[in-house]
Amino acid sequence: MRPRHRPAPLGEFELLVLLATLSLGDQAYPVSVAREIEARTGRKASRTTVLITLERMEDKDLVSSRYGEPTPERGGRPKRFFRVKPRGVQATRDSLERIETLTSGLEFVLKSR
Amino acid sequence: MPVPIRPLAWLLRMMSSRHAANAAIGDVLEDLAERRDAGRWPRHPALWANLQIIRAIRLEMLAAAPRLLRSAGLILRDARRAIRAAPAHSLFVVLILAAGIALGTVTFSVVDAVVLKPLPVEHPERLVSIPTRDQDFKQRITPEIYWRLHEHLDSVEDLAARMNMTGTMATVAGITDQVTVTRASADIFRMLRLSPAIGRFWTADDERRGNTDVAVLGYRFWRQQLGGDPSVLGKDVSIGTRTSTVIGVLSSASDHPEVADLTNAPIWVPMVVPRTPSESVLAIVARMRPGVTTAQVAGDVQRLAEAPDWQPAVRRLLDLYVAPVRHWMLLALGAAALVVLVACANAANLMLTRSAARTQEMAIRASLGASRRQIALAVLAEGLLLSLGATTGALLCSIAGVRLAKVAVTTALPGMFRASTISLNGRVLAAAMACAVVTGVLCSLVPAWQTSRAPVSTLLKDSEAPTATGRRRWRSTFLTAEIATVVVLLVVSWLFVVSLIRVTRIDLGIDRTNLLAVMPRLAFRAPVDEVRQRIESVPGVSGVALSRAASLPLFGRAFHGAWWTTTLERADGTSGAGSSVKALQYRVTPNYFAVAGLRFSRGGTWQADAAGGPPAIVLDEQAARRLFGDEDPMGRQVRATEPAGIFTLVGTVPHVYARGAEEDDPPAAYFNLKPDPARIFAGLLVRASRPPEQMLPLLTEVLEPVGPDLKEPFVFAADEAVRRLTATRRFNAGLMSVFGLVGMLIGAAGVYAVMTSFVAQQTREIGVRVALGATPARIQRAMLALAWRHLLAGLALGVPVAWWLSRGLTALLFQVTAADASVYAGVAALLSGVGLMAAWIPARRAARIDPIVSLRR
Repeated sequence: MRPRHRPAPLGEFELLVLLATLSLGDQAYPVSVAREIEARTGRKASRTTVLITLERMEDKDLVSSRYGEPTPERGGRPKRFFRVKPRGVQATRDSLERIETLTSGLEFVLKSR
Repeated sequence: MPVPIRPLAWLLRMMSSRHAANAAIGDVLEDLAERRDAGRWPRHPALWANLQIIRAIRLEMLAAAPRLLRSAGLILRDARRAIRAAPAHSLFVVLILAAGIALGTVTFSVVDAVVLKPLPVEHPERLVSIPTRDQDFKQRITPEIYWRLHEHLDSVEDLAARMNMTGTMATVAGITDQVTVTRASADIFRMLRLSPAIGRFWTADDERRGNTDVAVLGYRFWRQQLGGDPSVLGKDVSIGTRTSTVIGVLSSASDHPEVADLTNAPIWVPMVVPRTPSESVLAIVARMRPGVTTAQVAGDVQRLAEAPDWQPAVRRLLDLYVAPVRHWMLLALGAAALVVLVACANAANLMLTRSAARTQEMAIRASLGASRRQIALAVLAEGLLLSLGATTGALLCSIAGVRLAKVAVTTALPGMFRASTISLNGRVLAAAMACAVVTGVLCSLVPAWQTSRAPVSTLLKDSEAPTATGRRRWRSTFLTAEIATVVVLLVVSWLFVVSLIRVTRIDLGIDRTNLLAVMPRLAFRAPVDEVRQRIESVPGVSGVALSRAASLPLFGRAFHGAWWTTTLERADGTSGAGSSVKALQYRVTPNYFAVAGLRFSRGGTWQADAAGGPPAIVLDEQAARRLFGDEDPMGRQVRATEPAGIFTLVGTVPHVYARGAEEDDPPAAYFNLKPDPARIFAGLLVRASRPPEQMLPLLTEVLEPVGPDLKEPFVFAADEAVRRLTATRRFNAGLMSVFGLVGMLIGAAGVYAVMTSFVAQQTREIGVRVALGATPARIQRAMLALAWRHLLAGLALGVPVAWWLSRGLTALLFQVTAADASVYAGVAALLSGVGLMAAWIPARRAARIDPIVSLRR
């Protein structure tokens, strides 16, 4: 079997979405992910942008999606839940490591600000 | 909870999948519910929700663009391969579509140039013409009322008097030419948004101060005749006895080929409408205010003219120019659209046939993971590619076609408005491309649907798929619809051909054989008696008659003429059959009737030197019947208004259709033309013993020294006059016949193709039937019966539609009605004959099928 390539480096927003999705576990769907990003980082994240980002990452095989049961508060429509796949976890780890590498030695500067 | 607009939801589904779109809409609704709970409820929740969905669609589109492009590339590649795999079939489809599209493109280029294109002036839809006379030619807008309109007609921005005088001899800066002169009031320049290239225009102030011996030159005339010389300002313009000074030249914008005679006259001079009561002849144009309708203007004109019994026909200028051809041009466009439809139905049928042959291929693609949508899109793309190919071919043919159409229109219909501007331009190309897309989709929609709905499991089996029945049903439907459309086309063209035959066969009242007319628009340069002697000296001339007042019958309508009338009454005071009769007033020499070939039904002509007693009159039978009913009119006395007096009826002659067969003609009254040696103007009717083509050059030559000083011809043949009068009708009938013929040929090709494919797909079944004892004759009969059933169904559907549509054409027909059974019988016979002939070849092929060979397949 041909070894799979390492996932491509993530963009900043992709990293945020992946982290939020990971922290929400089974309850990650566009509305909750957007809410989570806003609550934890204070950064406004639109639901549609989150959805498009998740779909793009699904194309890259970083996340997978499944449909839940229809609920009345959503006009009888189902939720689309996303889960981070091992490749997605790997990509997150790679990105964080890169940031860590770059920030090492800058603790003094960064903490003092 | 607001519901998203259905098309938006559908679009979102198209961009992703049904489930994903549902979930995304659910997200929007959940977000909305949350806002409600948090007290951030939007003012227009439904609008907010739909805007959110639009945003999602936009982002999905942006994200999907590369993927879509890749898929489109793949679909196009498959379509190209499919076309290459069946070159003969594809070529047939392309040819049929190209024939339809080429015909449609050429027709559109003509109709667009003449009828559809707006006049090239600012807001042309607001320019109107206001009539000054009513239907009886009575002047309703006198100069006095003109000024009332000028000051108080609030529904228009500008109002101007404007009249074109064609064929006027004018001398400009020493150059004499026969030109069109526009006489107009100063407001015309502002109304038509004209500006001077050099110099200035005259103003209302000039008109008020009597400073009116001025002229403005047209741009083209200035460039071509005077070489664009700016020193022309201040030079003299002589028109007749009047001399004016050039004060300006119109800018190049006025010289547009599509503007007709509105702004391209070579010479413009002031038309001063007198403020004192006068009988001046007027013609008025106006620019309506924005948002005003012609009906409003008509109402205001009627009120200001204080004429409650007159409904002025205020018409848009373009309508006025195109009125004579508008109806039949639009009809031609409709007929061309029908031909395109026939071609589409035919191509759809061929593609259905092809899709049946590709069942296995599609099944394999479906089993390899192609979705129904992908398969349908592949067929749609194939249709679009074919129609694109057809359009390219059609456009290439149209280059020659449009040229041909232009030549045909300009020669068959001389003087046709904007005929010189017929061309293959951007508008025509856009229409052709739109036609390509519509035909491509139309002809592949059903095949795409039919191909994509076949279940894989049954397709891969060696048996006939259930969709084959559906496909066959669709093929029958298409063929029936195609035949029905051809029926409509044929009925309409047949009606036009019958009208033409009836128009040309009608007895116009005078004997046209070897009849000619000498009919100048201006006076001769010698007394008419000398002209007459010159004509009589030409070998082959057997009679010359003079006529004045109303123009010579037929010639007057075909070339140039005036229709002088008189009102007749019985002189005995009894009311009789009709109290008064309006009749055409002819003043003729006594030999006029013999020269025209008018045989007296009663009495005879007056004596040349009739003296004493009341003057004589000859009436046509219509006038005599209206005045005297069934009584014997001979010797009765008639009072006429013009020439005023009491006349004794000495004879009656048959009615003459002076303005051609298709126009309502008033009756005619013939009065004695008194001899006058000083007379220099009259029409002369010439009877010859030789054909007109031999006589025309002889007469023209002999009249050269005495003819008026005009470049235009003034000797005409009666047959040429009739040809002119029937030109539009002949062109119509020819055009409609082309549409009918092309439609029928495409229809016949459709019958042939469907029958051929039927035979090809039923070979095995036919083989079994032959093996079981069916004779070739019986097989052939069965095949022909199948074609016959389709023809009958098409006729049953097409005849009522044709009847319903033809009822609207009554105004364009002549002595034939939409309900004429002989027309439908003829069409049915023709179509059945052609259809059965087209089916005969495949039927014969079916009858020759060898059961052994067919069963082995």
